[in-house]
Amino acid sequence: MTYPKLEDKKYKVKEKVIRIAPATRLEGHAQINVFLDDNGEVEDTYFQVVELRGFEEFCKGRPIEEIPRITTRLCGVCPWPHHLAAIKAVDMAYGVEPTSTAKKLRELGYCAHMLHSHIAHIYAMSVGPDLICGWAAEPAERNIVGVINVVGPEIGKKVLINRAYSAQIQEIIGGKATHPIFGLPGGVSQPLSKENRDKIAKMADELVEFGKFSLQVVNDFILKNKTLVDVVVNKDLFYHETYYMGMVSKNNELNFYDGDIRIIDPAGKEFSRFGPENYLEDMAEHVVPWSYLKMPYLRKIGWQGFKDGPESGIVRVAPLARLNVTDKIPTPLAQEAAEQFFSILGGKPAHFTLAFHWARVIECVYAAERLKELINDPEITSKDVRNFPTDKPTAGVGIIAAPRGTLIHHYECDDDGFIKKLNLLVASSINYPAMNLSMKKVAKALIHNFEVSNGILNMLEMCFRAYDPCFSCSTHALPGQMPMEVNIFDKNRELIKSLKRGIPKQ
Amino acid sequence: MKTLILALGNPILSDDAVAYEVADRLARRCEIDIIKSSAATMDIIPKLAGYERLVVIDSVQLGSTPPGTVHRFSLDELADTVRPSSPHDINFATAFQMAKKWGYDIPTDIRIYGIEVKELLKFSEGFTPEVAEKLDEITEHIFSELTNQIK
Repeated sequence: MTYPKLEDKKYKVKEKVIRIAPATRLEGHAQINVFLDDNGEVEDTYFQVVELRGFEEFCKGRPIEEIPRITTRLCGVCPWPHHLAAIKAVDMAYGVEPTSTAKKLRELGYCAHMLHSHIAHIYAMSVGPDLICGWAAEPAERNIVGVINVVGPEIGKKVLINRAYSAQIQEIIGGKATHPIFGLPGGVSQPLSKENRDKIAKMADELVEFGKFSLQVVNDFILKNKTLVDVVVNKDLFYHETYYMGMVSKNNELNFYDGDIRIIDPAGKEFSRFGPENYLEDMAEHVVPWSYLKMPYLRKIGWQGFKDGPESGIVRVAPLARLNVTDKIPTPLAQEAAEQFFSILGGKPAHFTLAFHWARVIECVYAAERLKELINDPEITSKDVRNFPTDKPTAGVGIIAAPRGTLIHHYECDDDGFIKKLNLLVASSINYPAMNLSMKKVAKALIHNFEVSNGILNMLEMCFRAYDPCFSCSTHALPGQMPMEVNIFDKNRELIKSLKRGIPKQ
Repeated sequence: MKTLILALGNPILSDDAVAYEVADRLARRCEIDIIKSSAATMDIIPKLAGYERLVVIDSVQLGSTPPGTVHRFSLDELADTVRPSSPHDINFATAFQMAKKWGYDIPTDIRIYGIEVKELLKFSEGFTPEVAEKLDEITEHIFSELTNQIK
């Protein structure tokens, strides 16, 4: 067998709706519906999301300083961005600025989290299975074990070791594995000891090497394969000219922890810029009847439905968007990689959806380089890690560049400091309209005359995997799977075919 | 037998906290270490070194039995799925497959308990009455299997 496997046998579906959906008994799942017309051509697609219930209600009436430790429990995957967006909102609510060392410690832990999150997605979830094994590979081999069979066991071991380093750093800084508890209004709960500094410094060196190594993997297994690259840059498939949004420092350099949110138009020109005080001027949400998740869009452009271009308010976030909105990455290896990235993809902004994966690898390099800078900063072991708040808390907004894009937490509390309003604008939901856009385009391009294949269905899933979405805030209940089901409906919206995978028998 | 309990769940997602509660109750009755986590992925592997026995407890909704029922799974049964545990990570069975491949020190006795629950989608503290009233029974069930060396 030669890898990547990019083609497989097509078969005809008799019905007119294809649905890719998980079983309802497992939390945190999504479902894809493809509607066909009389000729078996794609009429429409819907990517539906089922959400957990009642988080805002759960938080109401609780002390605002508790919220950073509660919001981490929204998710076992992205607890760090929720913790940091929350603690930034709480800083603002108390009107207290963290000390310089506290900010550095928060950013350092966060760089480790970026690595932790991105490494898994790149090797185990997307680039590895879909592009290195190939989207048409058998499902049983399209996983991390299959990837290791293709690339060799040494690479797999490196992945496991470096991911474990990032987890260890998170634990040292955050005070707890997975769910950090160290953020307090005005700073963090503990300084970094010299002993832990030395431990992290060693791991940081390794992580930078791993970043370089990952760039090499992209080069060897993807860029050198012309067939793969042709699909990545095919404008009829994974390509949308949209607005982009991401966090930048004052001079428009990449930053994950602090800065303005910069929005560029599809031509690359700055369209708007906002900070925590005025995010509502730029962001609005549209409700659709067929999904629990709202569709965020740019308020100044308006919701124009599922289309791309400068007239549509659809905006994309996450790694590709961040690279598009920044003028420069402030660390040398990542900047060099970004220059190569834009040169191969034909300039900035790059609109290729599958390039999110490559951008994610470049962000790993930046995260590792920045982590190394921070751990070698003499101030990092300073004991001055907290400015104590003296005023009563009021309202605050915290924004962070989450692995999956811009994340905004907004809290308001009453006179006694208890939460009375809580609004979360989550990164994956900002990309949700674009996921629907991508899915429709790819389905229309690939499904004709009632003919599909497992590879084609997987390519529909790749439309959302590119964004590394996090709808399922706690998909950890056994049996540990995210089953999917593809339904095909006819033009009368009647189900004609249902293809199921990994769904427990009723 | 040096035993680690891996309790999986979300403490503010209603019945999803059942594993945390049962693990705490077990710890009061026997010599065990506990890791409480919201996900069992490849991160768990390096933490298993030095243990002879791993007991995984999580909530499940199979729907075929009443809340509070204790199901027992084998690693092989979990390996049937090729789906990840979440859109962002590998599943438990795959993590073990990788660990074995690279010669990691992992326990030989692995037992996986899934506790049937009622509510997994609503944020709240505390259990549904159906699960709450079964907590003693659930703990006793797992405790007796561990102490009586039932395989």
